[in-house]
Amino acid sequence: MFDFPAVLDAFSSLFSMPMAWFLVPLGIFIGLIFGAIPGLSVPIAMAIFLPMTLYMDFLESILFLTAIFTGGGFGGSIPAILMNVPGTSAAIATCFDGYPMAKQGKHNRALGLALSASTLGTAFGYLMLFVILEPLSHVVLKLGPSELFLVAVVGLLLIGLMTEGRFWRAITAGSLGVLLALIGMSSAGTERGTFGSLYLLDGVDTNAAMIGLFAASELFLLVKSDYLVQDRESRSVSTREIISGFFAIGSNYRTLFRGSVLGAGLGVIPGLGSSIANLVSYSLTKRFSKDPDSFGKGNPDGVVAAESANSSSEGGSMVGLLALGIPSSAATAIMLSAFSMHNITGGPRFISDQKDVVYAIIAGNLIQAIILAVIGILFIRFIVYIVRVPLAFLLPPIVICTALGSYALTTSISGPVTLVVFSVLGVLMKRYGYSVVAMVIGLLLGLMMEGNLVRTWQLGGGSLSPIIERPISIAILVLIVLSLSGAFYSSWKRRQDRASSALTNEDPASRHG
Amino acid sequence: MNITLNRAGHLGLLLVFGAFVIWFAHNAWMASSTVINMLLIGPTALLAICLIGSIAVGLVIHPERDADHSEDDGDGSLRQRFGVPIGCAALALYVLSLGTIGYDIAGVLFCAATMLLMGRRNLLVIALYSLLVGFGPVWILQHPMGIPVYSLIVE
Repeated sequence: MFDFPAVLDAFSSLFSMPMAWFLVPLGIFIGLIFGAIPGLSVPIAMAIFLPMTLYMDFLESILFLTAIFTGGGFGGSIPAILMNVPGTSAAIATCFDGYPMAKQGKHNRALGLALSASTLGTAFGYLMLFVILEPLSHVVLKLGPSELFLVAVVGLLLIGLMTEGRFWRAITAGSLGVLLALIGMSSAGTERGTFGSLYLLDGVDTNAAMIGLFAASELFLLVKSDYLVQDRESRSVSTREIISGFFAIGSNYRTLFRGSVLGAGLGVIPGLGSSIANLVSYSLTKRFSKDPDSFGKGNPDGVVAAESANSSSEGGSMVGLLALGIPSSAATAIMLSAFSMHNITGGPRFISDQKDVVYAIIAGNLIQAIILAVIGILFIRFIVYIVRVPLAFLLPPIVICTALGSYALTTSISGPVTLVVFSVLGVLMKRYGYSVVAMVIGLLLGLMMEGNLVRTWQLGGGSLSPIIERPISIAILVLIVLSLSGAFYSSWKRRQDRASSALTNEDPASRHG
Repeated sequence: MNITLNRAGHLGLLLVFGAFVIWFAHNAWMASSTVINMLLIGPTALLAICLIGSIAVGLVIHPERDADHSEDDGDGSLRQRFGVPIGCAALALYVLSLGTIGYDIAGVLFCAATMLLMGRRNLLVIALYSLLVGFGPVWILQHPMGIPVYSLIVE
């Protein structure tokens, strides 16, 4: 299975390129900056720096781009933890427990934990890529449109199941998200809900919408506060606590392992990757936890689950690129451009003919994970001072950066306008208990769901029969039914328990009186 | 916010949701009534309308199901009482003014207004900081990133 001479060749070519070891830390630093600023994203960073890779060797260019990818993976967790604004869609679940930890003054620890989960998750993802690259590429080819559609449905249902007592409101928000994602020109050339506007032909700008929905609900609420962390004593910046948080991962090893496996596995599936992996990992960790009620209130396991999954999905997403030549995310699509700029085509032949290059990419990324740990600690040390800055100084540049970031994505006013519309919507949805996460997931997956459903319909000769005929689809359907039944049963049981304990605690005199 | 006003707001939001779903489904149907076009839109719109209707009916029958308790107004200051709506309005004004007065000037004014709203009173600090925050990001977009941005002063 392993070609050891190719592994040795990979290491020798890695260490014969001193330039790569200048480019990798630079790439990680760029990724950290772009990931940490809401509105900017890893694909933007990769797209901006893609032309630079023309002047590099193929391996150097891929290592540089994956370094941006790796740095951005962790960078997105920084605003998620400190401000409840996910830097990228992959950091949505990091907000759930990271921000409550920050509010309790445990921001140093939360960031340290997120960094170690990201580092180990990235390393795990690439180790898994090393082991299963070839066999997994065959399995991915067997996933048809019906399976991909059902996996997206699972993603939406999971969000609903995670919102305690507000399941139907979350499903409503998710459905609205799906419909919003379908605004624009369909693949068949039909214009839907565009008001005749050119700006809406490509649909709603999901990045601007996501930042609006998440950022607004928190940033506007922060207008009422003076500091991110209200308690003066808790506003400390401590390298010792960051490092202790980094090494505290030892007590979360089960969550780390589960998150990494899920992330690497889901990262392989085109169109899903890290944005779903972090949510699936978070919800499963909560489900299997002995103390599920502590989630959402600052449980470190929640941060580890989300960060390990989104980081390991990077390795998973490279499977499609290397083994099939198919990008599974915006970031890998840009990497594919770097492939073509160097006249290289990914796919089974690339793996068999250039095994040493493939192994060098994997080994280079394993070393990147270690570099991320070092640079990450230094980066956190400076960025964590944010908690000491009065919000009057912090909020205006964040809002301006998010507005300009959404402008940079489209280079038109449509980005900032989308941001405002979804900001107001986010405030209202949060006020009335509708999950903004569900709406974002609907927005991210809507087009992919429609494309796969249409392909299923066409493959079924004008029916959706493939959904109930293909074994993998049936397995996913069974999983959906089982998890829904389990969730409804446990919610019913919780209500019963609460009712019976209320009866027990009731004053006997008032009961008889 | 009292419970009646709160519930009215919630029902208003549901009305907006419902109106969007019906309008979008109708618009898509008018654009093309083929199965391919309506394959996902039709069932999703139907599900959304059913859920919106059920939630609205549930709200009318069980008012206690409404939103969480109203937020604390703190010290009763303008920022505490109306900070969120003023913030929303300021962001909307900022974005609407981008194309008119330039991204740089709009940024400066937005920053200064937000700082004043949040209780800062040192005008010199506000002016200097607003200039930095308004001009800095625009310059970064224009120069290192090479993205064209409409601006009045920063070139």
